[in-house]
Amino acid sequence: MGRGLCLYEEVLVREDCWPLSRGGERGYGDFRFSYGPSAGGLLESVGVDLLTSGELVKELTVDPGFKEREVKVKGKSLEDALLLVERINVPFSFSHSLAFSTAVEEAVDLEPPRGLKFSRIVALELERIRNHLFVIARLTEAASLGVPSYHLYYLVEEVNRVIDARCGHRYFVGSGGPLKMECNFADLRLGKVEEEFKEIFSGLQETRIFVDRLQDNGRLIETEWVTGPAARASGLKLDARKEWDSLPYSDLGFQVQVGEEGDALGRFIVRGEEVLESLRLISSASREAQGGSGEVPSSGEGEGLGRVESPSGDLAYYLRLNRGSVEEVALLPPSLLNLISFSLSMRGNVFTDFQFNWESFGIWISEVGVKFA
Amino acid sequence: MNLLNVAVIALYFASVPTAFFNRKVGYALTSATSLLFLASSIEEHAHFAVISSLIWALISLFSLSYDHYGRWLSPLYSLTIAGMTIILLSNNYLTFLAGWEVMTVSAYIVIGLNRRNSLPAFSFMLFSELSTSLILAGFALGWGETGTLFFTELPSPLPLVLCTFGFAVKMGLLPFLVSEWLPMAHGSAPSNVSALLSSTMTLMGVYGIVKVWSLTPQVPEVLGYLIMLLGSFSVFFGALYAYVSDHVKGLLAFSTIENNGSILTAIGVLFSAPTMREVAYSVVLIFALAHSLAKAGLFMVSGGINGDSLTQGGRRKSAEVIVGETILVISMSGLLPTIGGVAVWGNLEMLFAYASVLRTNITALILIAAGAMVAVGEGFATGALVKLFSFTSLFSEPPRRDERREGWTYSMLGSAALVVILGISSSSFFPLRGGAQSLGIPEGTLLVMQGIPGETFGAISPLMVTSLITLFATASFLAFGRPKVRRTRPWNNGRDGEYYTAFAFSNNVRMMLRSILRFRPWETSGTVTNVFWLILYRLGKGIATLSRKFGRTFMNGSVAWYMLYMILAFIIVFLLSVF
Amino acid sequence: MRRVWFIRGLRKGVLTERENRVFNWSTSLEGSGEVKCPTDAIRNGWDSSKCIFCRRCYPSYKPTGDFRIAQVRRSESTFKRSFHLYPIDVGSCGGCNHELKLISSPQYDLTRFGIFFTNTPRHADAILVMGVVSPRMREALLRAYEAMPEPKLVIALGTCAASGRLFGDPVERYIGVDVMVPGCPPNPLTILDALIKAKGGKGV
Repeated sequence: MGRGLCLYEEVLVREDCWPLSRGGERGYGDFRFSYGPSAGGLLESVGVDLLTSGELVKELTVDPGFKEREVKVKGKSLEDALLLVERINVPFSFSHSLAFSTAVEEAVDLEPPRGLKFSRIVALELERIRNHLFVIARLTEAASLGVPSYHLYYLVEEVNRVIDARCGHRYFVGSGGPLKMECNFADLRLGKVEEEFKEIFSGLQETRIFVDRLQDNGRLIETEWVTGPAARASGLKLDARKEWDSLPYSDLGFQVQVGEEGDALGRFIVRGEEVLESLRLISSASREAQGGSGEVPSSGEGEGLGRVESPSGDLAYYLRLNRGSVEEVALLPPSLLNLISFSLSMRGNVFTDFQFNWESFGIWISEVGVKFA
Repeated sequence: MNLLNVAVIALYFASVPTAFFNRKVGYALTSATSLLFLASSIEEHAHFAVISSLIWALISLFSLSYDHYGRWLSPLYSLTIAGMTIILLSNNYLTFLAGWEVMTVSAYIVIGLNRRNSLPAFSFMLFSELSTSLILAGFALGWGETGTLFFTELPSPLPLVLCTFGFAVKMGLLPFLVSEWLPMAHGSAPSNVSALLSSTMTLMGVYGIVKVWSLTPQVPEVLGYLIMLLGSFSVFFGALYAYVSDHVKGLLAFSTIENNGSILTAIGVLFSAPTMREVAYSVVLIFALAHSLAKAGLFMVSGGINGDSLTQGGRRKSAEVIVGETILVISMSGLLPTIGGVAVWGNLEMLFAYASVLRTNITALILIAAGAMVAVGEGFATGALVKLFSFTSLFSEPPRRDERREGWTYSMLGSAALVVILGISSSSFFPLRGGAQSLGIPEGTLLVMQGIPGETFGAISPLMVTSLITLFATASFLAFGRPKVRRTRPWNNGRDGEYYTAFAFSNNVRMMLRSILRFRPWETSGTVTNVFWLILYRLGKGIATLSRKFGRTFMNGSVAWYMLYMILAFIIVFLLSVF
Repeated sequence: MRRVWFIRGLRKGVLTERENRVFNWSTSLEGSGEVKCPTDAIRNGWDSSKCIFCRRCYPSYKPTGDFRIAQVRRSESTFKRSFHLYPIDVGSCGGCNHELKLISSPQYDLTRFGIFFTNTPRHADAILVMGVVSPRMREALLRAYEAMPEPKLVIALGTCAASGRLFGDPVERYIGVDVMVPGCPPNPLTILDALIKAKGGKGV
């Protein structure tokens, strides 16, 4: 990754932000096994180097820079910048655009109406449900459990269709923005999804062959670089929805889902519980949700920070506006932290554990490999 | 002993001082003498001598271009062979043991001088003397029973029991691979002597058992079953250790243990199955022949490798070596149409055929258990040989343009060719033959195994396999012509990476069986400890501590106690003289 | 018995849709008028390969619901019964990867058309490229193409791969493209339609 603009809490530092590679001591017969960037088991292109003596992973290094893209936002208007920001990581598109919009609203001192906030909550939770279902589907697919994996992909597609019907795009692209929510969530019914998911989730927890692949796999011991469901699975009560009050989660009685074991099984269970919690939040929030769009000043100035709980953890945008166009932008993607946690957690696991551990973190490389220019 | 045999022995002994002055002449003389011996043995139908002399000829030819050691190797090499010849040609106990010791001591000197490391040589000597003492005990009993030193019929089976265990120790099978003396010894010697030891010295053990068996009319069945279980157990563990070994010669030596285990299993059937005597004897011979040929060839290949480690060793690829090693590995893994395939088929088929004869008898379970262990061991053996072959031939550096073909490849190719030819023609020396006209197999070319006399249990035809392979290959070539070939780079996820090491190749088994193999994955040395060695070590330490304690308490320096001992001794002697 | 997955699957029944569902986006656009398209897709008519479906041209340009917007320049009928794809992500946003995974969901079920995914280009009939070509993935893309046996097809999935909008270079700059599937991300039915036509069929 190298030197860049590093976003820590509310402090910006220009340095070598995160330690992504660690050397390893080579014993007899050890060699560096390269997996990726282009491999059948990986959904995206990422370079993984394993120091191994065969089967056992002694050290793991991840290189997310293979699909690095340059995102030319500086100097662009807010509208044009949003076009790019939404497409940094499309499965998390709403989280990105929401964090960006919140940063803009803070920079030019705008307060969105309450109904809009509830509409944002519904959209964010829908995105969370879809992503968690996708992660669990990938896990069951890795375990070759045909029926649950196909059933979960069916549910993912159903959720995508719901989003498309309500917002005009399957991934919320173009429906969000500063003071803008062009989604209609009136009478939103997800009862079928809830019922079918409950059945699958409880069934999976009793499926021994599935649980065995996840238990004790990728246990997180160093919890310095965790966020999102991975952090909550390790027992840490970290959730931006509780800590950042830009959205009224506390009015809905939101409960943070925490697990005990910091292994892949814990991350799976936390994700499942969060789906059920999100479904509950949606049914309450959709009653007060109100779409709409407001006026954003075209030559605003200021700086703002927007923080959002994306499906894989803390996502934050720092923004500096100058005369209505973007001057400086920095992104804290959750996948970066999850990548570091992943590489630390793989020590001592074997080759066959890789797939399950990787999928359990819910990492999207596309938001890690971006350079703002 | 006729004149020809005397001449052979004389020539072998003559080549010892000759080799001292000129290495190449020494080897040449040895190879010529071996060929002479071969001719005379074929005429006399001395099967073991035929196998041995053939191997000696090949290895001596190999040594012509291989020896780059000091003056000491060639004479000692010839001396070892001379000792083995005496064993094969002797007709009494004394000359047999004399030959045995000559063979052992020369080999010990070679192993000791090679690395200047005393442990392999010392442990080799230790276990060889253990085997000699057991054999000596057996022979002494035989002399006591028959009253003569010459080989005659033995009334009781006790000499056979003692000798069998003695020879089994020499074959590396007793006591259960403890301290891995055979792989250590064979792995520390120069390649031509390793080949000699693995192929023919262990063959002497087989010869010894068969010789004493032929003199014993009444063999207890229990001995046969015991031997069978011992052999199959060694097959499994020998093959397992071969698979996880990263030492080239060590891998081959463990493979020797595995094959000797198979031969011992066949000997077990020879002892205990009266109806299958002829087949069992043929299987023992064929297995010995197959193993000796292939092992000699593989040791010749290992001679061309730099260093001992499979992971870090390197060699230059050459087409002849690849072809030769492929065929040798095929034979060693027990695949048709090579002779190794016939041997492995014969061994397993024999076990199961006899089990079908015994049927409801509980001893049939022993046969099936032995057969199952042999089969599992063969699986690991194939894996070990694939590992060896891949990392010594397939994945090696391309040859330098100016490198000339080395002479030793010819004898290696010779053994590879023999392995195939003998396999295809095996129907000419297999006892039970048949044919299947309906399948197109001519009469006399089908090798048949019968459990219950008259009922066919199973059959194979190496000739058929060869002709089908040739037929289909030719037909495909004629039908499709030369295949369109485009050369590309290997696909490695889109970038370059490091190569998979030989150590990592078998690390999955090392990890899975780490409690048996005493393997600690995180240690950088990555060694595997023999669990039997660990047990014996603890036992030895325990005995040493116990005897020290006992010694101190018994001879405790107190005058009062010594007076008590004297009084006790006086009483005991008095009582003995009274009664 | 209810707890056995196999029984649950049977009870759920067949979920594959026989009739194509109607979506609005991403489908072909029709309309007229002067609009400021951020990717220059509307010049003399609508160029599907450059459109990122941002809806800034709405309501001058409206979606027609016609999802058959893929351009199949070359098809191979050798693959009619069995078509194996190797997906390679050279710099995408994750959307095309996600959508590609979803065409194997029960509603669409691409395997009923004889289309499958492989794990290595050596077994692939077509290479499915997603995203703009990042500098470090260029080598991997060329190697993957080189590793494929003849006959082979190149499918560019998504507007990024087809024209490079918004982030970089299109695939065409490095290897010849046989099938182009526009969309940001493309409609699942568009992808299916393109794949079926690529292997010599008539479309979904």
